[in-house]
Amino acid sequence: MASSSSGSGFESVSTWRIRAVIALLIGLAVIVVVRLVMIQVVDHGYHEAYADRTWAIETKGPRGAILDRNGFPLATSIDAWEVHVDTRLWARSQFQPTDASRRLAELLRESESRVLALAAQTAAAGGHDALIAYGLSNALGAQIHAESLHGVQVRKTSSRRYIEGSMAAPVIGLVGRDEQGLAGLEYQLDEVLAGQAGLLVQEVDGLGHPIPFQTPRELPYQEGATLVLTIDRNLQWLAETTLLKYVQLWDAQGGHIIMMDPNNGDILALASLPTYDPERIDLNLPESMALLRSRAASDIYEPGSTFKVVTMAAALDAGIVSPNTTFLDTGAVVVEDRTIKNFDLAYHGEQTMTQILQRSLNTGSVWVAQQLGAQAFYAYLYKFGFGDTTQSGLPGEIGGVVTDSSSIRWSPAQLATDSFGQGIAVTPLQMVQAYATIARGGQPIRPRLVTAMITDDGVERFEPRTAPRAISEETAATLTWMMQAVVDGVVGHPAQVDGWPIAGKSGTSDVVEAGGYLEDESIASFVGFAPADDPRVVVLVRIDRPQGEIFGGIVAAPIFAELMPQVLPYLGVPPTAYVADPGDWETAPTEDPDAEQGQEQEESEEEQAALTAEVNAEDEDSEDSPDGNPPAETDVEDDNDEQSEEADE
Amino acid sequence: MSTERAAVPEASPGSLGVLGRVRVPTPRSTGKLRPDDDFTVGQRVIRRLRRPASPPDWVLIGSVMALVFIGLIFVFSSSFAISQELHGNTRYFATRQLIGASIGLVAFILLARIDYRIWQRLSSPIIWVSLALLAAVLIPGVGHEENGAQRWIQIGSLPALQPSEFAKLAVCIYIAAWLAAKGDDIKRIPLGLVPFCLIIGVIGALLMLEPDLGTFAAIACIGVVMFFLGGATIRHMSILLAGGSAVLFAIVVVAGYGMERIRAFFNAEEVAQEAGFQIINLVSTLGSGGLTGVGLGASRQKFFYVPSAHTDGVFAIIGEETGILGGLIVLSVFALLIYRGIRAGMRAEDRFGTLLAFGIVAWFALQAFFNVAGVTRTIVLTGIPLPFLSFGSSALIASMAAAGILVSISRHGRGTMPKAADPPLHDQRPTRDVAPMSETKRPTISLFHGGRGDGT
Repeated sequence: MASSSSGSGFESVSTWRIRAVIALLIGLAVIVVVRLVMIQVVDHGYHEAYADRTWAIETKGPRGAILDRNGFPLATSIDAWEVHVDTRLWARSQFQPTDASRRLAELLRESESRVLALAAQTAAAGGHDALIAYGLSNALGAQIHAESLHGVQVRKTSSRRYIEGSMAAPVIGLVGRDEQGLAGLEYQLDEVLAGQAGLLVQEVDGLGHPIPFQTPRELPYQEGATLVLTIDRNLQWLAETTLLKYVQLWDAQGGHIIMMDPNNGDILALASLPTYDPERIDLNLPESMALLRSRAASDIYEPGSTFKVVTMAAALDAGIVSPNTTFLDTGAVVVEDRTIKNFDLAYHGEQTMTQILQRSLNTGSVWVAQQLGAQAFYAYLYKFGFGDTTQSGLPGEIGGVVTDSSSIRWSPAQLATDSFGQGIAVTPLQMVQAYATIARGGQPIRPRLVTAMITDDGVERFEPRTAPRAISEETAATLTWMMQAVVDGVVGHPAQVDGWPIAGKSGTSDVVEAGGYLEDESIASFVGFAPADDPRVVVLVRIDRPQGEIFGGIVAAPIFAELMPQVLPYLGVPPTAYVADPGDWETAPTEDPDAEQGQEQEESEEEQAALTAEVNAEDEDSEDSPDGNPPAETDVEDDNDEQSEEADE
Repeated sequence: MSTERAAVPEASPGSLGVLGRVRVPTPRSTGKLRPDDDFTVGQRVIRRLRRPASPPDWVLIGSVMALVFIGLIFVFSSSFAISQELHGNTRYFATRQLIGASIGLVAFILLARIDYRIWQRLSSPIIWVSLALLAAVLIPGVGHEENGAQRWIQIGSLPALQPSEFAKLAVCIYIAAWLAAKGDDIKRIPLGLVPFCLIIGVIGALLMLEPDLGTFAAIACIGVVMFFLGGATIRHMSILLAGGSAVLFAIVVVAGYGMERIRAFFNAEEVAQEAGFQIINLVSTLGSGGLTGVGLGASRQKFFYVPSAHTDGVFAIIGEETGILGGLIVLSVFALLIYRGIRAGMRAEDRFGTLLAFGIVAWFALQAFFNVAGVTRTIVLTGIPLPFLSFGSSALIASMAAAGILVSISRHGRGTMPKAADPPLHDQRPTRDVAPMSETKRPTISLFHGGRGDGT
């Protein structure tokens, strides 16, 4: 139909054209309505789920504090503020300086270009919430908040403070920026310290903020528990400063000092070097990660001669030997293809069991272990807790390496070397645990780091945990006597302390690295307890790779001796008139002690002063026996361990 | 307008109308009214306002008012969050829209009362002013840029003016006047298609300099619908379709403008965090509304999940808050408005009125389609606002002005006139060059029978 040239508007536009347009519009309307039905009715469920803006936000209460055994805070959390920038708002100014960025930089004492760069970086990475600064003080946070700068948000967080700096860092550990435990007890007991997170269920907008005019559903959080450690702040300080002093003195790589109360297993002090300051450590550095380990529980070493005590304990308890049992030392013993010699490469002739410990004879230990037999030997090792963790609660704790006779890698030579602490790997905590077992009469006790947990519900105390008896009380007493003979029964032993009887044993072990032993490097250690008659503290001193000297008796034992006059009075054990007299240990107490008592007493009294004065002056290994009656063997201190013999193999 | 009656050109057909003066029919006054030139300008304006006419189409007025009212509600609902975020005041956008609606209401009433035929005579000045404003937008210092497009004229602290919205009205008026004057000449390519393409091309070029492809597309489509109604042949339409596709291809593929939106349309999920974010959220906003919606004001998506929730995306918010029910009600009001607009156009006594009415109807209908189809991911998102509902004072004022003209057309149509003593001016002899058509030859339109009123 052609359009007509009529005078009226209606006629001027042809009907079919109008119909076509109307049909087009109806068609378009139908399309739109069909689409609406598809989206709003058919796919409603899908879109409803997609557009669900309900978020459950975890809410956290304050993290629990960590206190020392007397309530001094070691780690606490304080309120802190974080500054964020919504980069979408700053993107409008192309991250060019604005009033807001200038003022923010001024308040933060940062350069404005850095603030802008941080925001631009986040935006470039596809994010819109740029963290500009954190850990701000309350006052600064409040001020920035009050200025309500464009795009700047201030959020309350909390920040961990380690009041005593690096003190006890290997035990306490540290948290990351979000207060997530990263190391130590902070990591291991993170859930306890962090408390039960609450939930805040609410709808949030596209910028992540809660949508107004709603009533969020809330599940309240539970505050974190406060931990009371067994660590004593004063002893910890003493241990750390002493350790640092000697590590520096010996130009050593590191070391440990661990103090434990053998009666309840409390770790009173645990110092490890190298360490770190949890507030300053830069976690971005790759070497930082190695520092975070709790080495006392996670790093193994060969215990060396300190382990001979365990061998001896097993043999004594099994009734194979007694302190005065003798064996003939020929200076070397051949087991399979290995020749085991003494550290001094000397021939000692007939020696008692006590002398084996005193002179730290490798050949003697091998003989004892062979008398005992592999099966019994390893059974005792396990009873003492070797090969298993001490359950101290430190992260990454391992059980060491014990290759027992059921292993296909085991051979008689393994038993021989294990007997004097070589080829077996233990943790410092395991050694402390083993010595504490002897100190407390044969019943092993687990090292304990946390005594109590304080929550809103009250205080939960942790009881000391013991393990099944390892050796009999008599064995423990005999062994204690022998260990005392090692220290107090040797003229001028560096671990002797006037005023308290000391029992202990030093060790010098090889440094295992890359599958072999390092020459001229050693781990010098001493483990002992005091007072020997009523042990109150077990102390392990270990210096890793001292320079210029390798022997535990020379490097580690004097540190033990230096600590005792400070530690014991602090623990309520005043000094007595006791002075070590090597003469007291000529014979074992079990063998007619009354008969010899009087005689020894006299002798010792006379010679005491002269001997100690003389020997102390020289203070090195292998002095000549002083004139008079002390046994000839007392001249050799156990400092000089099996070290040299290893090189001969 | 001074002595226009005498200035009706006798120019050659070739010069007709292309961005120049349009030959217009001369209304003749009769009865008590004296000829225009006996009046002062002010008196003439008053006389035009008083021109006798039938009562307005209250259904048309009602549907416009309903849309404006719904628009105000949803602009507020959808904008208060972004308003607070950007301006620290939840009512910032709502207030501006309310001001726009007030100005629009004044324009609506005024234009409803003015005889629409005056625009036929003023079509040339109108298009020139419109072109000048579109050009002014591009002048640095006058034009105001936002989101990478320079579309606004900002003078001092006055609300920014968006000339492209008023250009739609200008184009409707001008093309209607031009087509009305052309008659059958339109079927000749040099006199029809070429001038038409020139008009659309000049405006399109100015719009693409901003750039504003959406408005260009809308204006082009409105123009094509009017051109078709004005008598374009199938050949014309085919050429236009081919040419339009070529131009669109050149703009999108060669110049790369809008490419991102096309990619987002096809692969929204792959770029869900960037280009696809808007369309995915728009569809889910609608979809989450379901049958009856989440409740008025309770939209979640307007909280920064849907970019431009209060402008191009307002229909999605309507769908979310009131469900498909609310959306269909809004679309029904649109349909009612369009129906009454078509009715007014079909009853118009002159070709200009019919064409102008259909132009305005096409404007509303096509924009509504482009917008809602975009939001429902039926077509690529064009950034074309929903008339009366989307935020934007210029768009609202222009739409309400256009609706006012529709009302004016409805007041002067056949079958609407009261049996007044003063017969309407245009009833006498409409145009000099168009012969009157007899009553019997008047075709009927079956779609709208019964709508003839009480006859003349």
